[in-house]
Formats: sequence, structure tokens, C-alpha cells
Amino acid sequence: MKRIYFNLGIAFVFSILFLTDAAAQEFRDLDASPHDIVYFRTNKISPPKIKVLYGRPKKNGREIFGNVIPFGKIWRVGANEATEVVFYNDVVFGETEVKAGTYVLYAIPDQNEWTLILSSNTDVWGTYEYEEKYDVARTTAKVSKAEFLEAFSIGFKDKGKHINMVLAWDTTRITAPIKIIL
Amino acid sequence: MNKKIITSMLFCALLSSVMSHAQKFDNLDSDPVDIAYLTTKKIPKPLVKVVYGRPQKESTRVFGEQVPYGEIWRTGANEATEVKFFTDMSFGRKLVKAGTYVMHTIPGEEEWTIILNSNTDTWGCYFYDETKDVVRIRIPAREAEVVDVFSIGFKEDFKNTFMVLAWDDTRIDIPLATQEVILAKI
Repeated sequence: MKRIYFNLGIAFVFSILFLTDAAAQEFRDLDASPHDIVYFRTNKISPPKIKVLYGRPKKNGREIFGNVIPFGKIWRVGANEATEVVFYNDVVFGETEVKAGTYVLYAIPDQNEWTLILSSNTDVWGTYEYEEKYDVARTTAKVSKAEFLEAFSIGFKDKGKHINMVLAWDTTRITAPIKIIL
Repeated sequence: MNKKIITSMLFCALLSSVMSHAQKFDNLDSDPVDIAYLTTKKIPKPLVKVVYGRPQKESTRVFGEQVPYGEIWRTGANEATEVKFFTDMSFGRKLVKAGTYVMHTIPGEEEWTIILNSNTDTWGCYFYDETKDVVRIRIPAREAEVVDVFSIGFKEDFKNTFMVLAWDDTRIDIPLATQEVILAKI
């Protein structure tokens, strides 16, 4: 008799487990810092040359660089999942030749000059999994100032012989020259 | 009179030079992009990654109104939804090679068609080319509680893994399996 009760008990526990499982699946809410996609194409209908998938945090009245994002520490260049860059051709990033492929873009912000890093360890969250051994290229870029932007933005500027990838937030701009090898 | 023209010309020149200096960046999307990963505890890298736009419910019914039945849909918003398989997988019981695909769907009242297409980095369904189809499967729609924002997630029960498309009271469960799982079953 005891054994039957025991079995019944187990069956009950299991049925509850199944029931809760069968009930509702949770889906994630919209991110406060949503992701966005930006492409560089030579014209509107041609296949892309560069793609960036990145999170877009907002300033929300805070002092960003040197405060929310400290100087001298590695940053995911966005929010949530680390920022990913796809090169559809081989490129020269700073001074280094980089093969076509997908890379994570990290930055070490500073007052006058930033370090930009391409890493081959993709599909990671934030900078927690950053390891120097996966570095593919490192370059530095000067800080310039421009008009205020509430949301962190990445854009491209076609300079003819090369492309400028521009990181923009608040009044800070970082311009990284990228040369596409055709 | 002449002076006025010259001043206005100067002003125009000044304005255009200012405008060419300021770089335009995209505003935040109202239907933002999101990323969903399928991961397992066994391996550190994900098995599947989905990058998709998340529109919100705007009419009393999403499917059949906001998103028409019987027409191809980008399965999200803005850029076409992309699915990356990190390993060869079975998707709706059809084998798909590791790689990146665009996922289009044709919603129906009772049944949806799910299409994986190799023409990636496209906007909406405007560039859809049937000859680039890799897989076409049909999945019955089921009902569940209402979600206002289009969502893609993963669900695992004892034996099976599903990619779940969810919006309004509609759910589409696409069975997924890795090669090891398929082999283990044989």
C-alpha cells in the first residue's frame, strides 16, 4: 500500500512537471538596447561588401565615454551580444590584411585615441569571452567630435579608395579606415 | 537685387557644405532586430542562430490581416530573417548543410510553408528567387496564448527540439535535430 502511494506521488510530481512544461513558453521581451544591422554596399542593389550586427544602447542623459564606458577597458562596441562584422571580401583593417569572414569587433576607448580589435571567436556575449589569442587585427583610431547622437550608431562612408567605418555616440566619433581588396 | 542673389547663393553653398559634412546614421528601428541562439550544454558553441526583426501586433488579428495568408512573408521585419546552422542539421525532417540561409514563410490558416533559401543578405521578400530554395516544409499551425511582439525561440522536450515561431495566438513548431541525434535514433 505504501508503495502504491509512493508511486502515485511520483506520478503526481511528474504530471505537474509535464503540465507546467506544456503550459506557456516564455519569449524574450524587446531589448532596451535593440540590435540593428548596417550594410556597406557600393550601390543599393549590389551584394554587400561589409555587414555589421550590433546592439544600440542609448545615452539616457548619462556621461558615456570615460564614465558608463570607462577608458582603457575593453568594450563590446554596442550592447548585449558582442558586435559582429562580416567582410565579404578580403580587406585591410588598419594595417593588417584580414580574410573574408565573420569577426567580433571590440574596442578599448580612450580620451584621444581608441584601439579597435577584430577577434575570430564569434557568437559571444559582451566581452566576457574575449581572449587575446583570437585577435586577428588591432589598429588605433583618433577620436573626433561631431553633433550629438542619442543612440550608439555605426555607419560607413565611401571615400573612393577606402571606406571609413564610423562609430558614433554622443558627440564622439571614431573613424576606422577599411580597404576592400577586390 | 544682385546682392540678394549673391547672399542667397552663398547661403545655399554654405548649407550644402554643412550638410555634406554631417554623416547620417540610421534611427533606431521601430521593429528592432534580435538574435536567438539554440545552445546545448554539451558544446560551448551554439547550434543555431536566428537574426530577425520583431514587429508588433497592430490589428485585431495578425495572421490573415496584418500578415496576409497565402503570401510569402519575410518572417519578421526589414531585412529578411536569417538562420545559421553551425553544423549539418535536420530542419523539419529534411537535411540541411551547415551555413546561413534566409527563412521565408507562407502563413496559412491551418498550415504554414517554411522556406530556407540560399540568397542571403536581402531585404524583405523582394529578392526572393525560388530557384535558390534549399528546403520547403509544411508545418501545421497551433494556437497558444497571445504574444504581441513577433518572437522566435527554441523549445526542448525529452526527445525533440523545436524552433518556435510565435506571434498573436499562432505558433509554428519546426522540428530540429543534429546529425548525432538522427544517428542515435537509427
